[in-house]
Amino acid sequence: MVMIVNGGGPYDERFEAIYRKCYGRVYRYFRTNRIADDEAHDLSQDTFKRLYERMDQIRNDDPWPFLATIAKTVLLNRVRARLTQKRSATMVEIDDPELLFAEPAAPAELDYADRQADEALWERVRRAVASLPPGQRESLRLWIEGFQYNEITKILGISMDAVKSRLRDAKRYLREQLGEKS
Amino acid sequence: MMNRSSWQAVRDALIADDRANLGEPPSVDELLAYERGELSNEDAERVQQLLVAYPELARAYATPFPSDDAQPGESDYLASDVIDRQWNALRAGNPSDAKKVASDGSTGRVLQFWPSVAAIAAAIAIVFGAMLWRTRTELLRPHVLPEAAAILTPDGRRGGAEPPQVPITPAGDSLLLVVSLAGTTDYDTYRLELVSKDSHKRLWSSEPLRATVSNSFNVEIPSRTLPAGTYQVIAYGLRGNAQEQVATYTIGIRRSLVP
Repeated sequence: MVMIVNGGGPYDERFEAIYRKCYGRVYRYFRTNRIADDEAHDLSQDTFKRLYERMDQIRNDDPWPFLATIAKTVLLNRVRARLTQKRSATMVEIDDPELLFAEPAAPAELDYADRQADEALWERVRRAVASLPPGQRESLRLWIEGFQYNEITKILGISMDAVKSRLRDAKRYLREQLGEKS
Repeated sequence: MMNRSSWQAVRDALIADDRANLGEPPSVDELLAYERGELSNEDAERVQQLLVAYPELARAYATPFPSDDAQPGESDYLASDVIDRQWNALRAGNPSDAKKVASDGSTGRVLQFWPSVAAIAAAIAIVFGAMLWRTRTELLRPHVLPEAAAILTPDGRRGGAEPPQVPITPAGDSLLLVVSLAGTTDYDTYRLELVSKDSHKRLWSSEPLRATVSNSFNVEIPSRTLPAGTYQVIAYGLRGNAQEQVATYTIGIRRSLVP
């Protein structure tokens, strides 16, 4: 249980100062990650509660790096919990912003021949992607997901040039495999 | 022509394949260790593959922190009164009620009051429950009496001898005092009192007791209520509303490991 005390001691005064200075930035971080308004506040409060419990671990004058790590941990925990929940049960949350943003619209109805052709093409693409070298495959998959180059560099821990060259090679390979002209 | 929208069609199948092959998403600790470059090459590669398989987690992992909070006019800007409400809600221990909490401006010590009260009440209930259970248990189980009861002789009939010393040992739960009323049996009822001779406090007083054939009363006293010291049992004879002290019995109590 967290007990927030504001008795005027330097410890609590510092916490309140950090809270008032950084709350908006923490909240904005969660909103940037497509968290709905109410939940962004909840996660922000959770972040500061954890900070309060660890105030003695702040090693320098600037608390932001420490606070940012806590906020990131809170966010990753939240996302991971939802993922594992989804793996264990089929859940559809109608106000889930991820769903609203990421879920593709229902496709227009195709006739049987078109569906067969599409499925054959998807299967060829799927096999071709699976046969890519791991580095190219991962870069391409992230690119398909809509990640920017700088985000791919962060996720895979490689340079921007490496990302570009891997994507270029992957696309070339797939064009060769799939017989595309461009 | 291959474009981004074309790739979306195979996205779900690829993700399903990966998740089936790789299993659960990486733990948060693993992700943070990966970010710090603390994982072995093998573990780092596995985390990379899992991030690709779980793009939602990859997005949370990769999204940079905003350089500052939003400014007035921007969508995620928070006015100072909103932050005040959140701060008050955090201090009140109920962040989810932030929108209901009034900004009272107080700076006193604010604790999570009701959870604390509930915890204290629960603790008290447990303690009293345990005490009740213990009392009931003690009443139901047999009492261990000392090997020999203390037979009290009225003061003045011992030839000036010191009062008898009764040892109370850890083995005995109760002390049995046999109060003999020899020579004072012309009362219908009697009342007994136990007095500490050291502090002159009355420790116990009986209800009116009808005289017995043996001219004596057996008084069982819990041992733990008798600290070492000198005590007096006073016998009163009752007649109507009047009472008369008919005898006193002095006894010394000492604590001993052996009888």
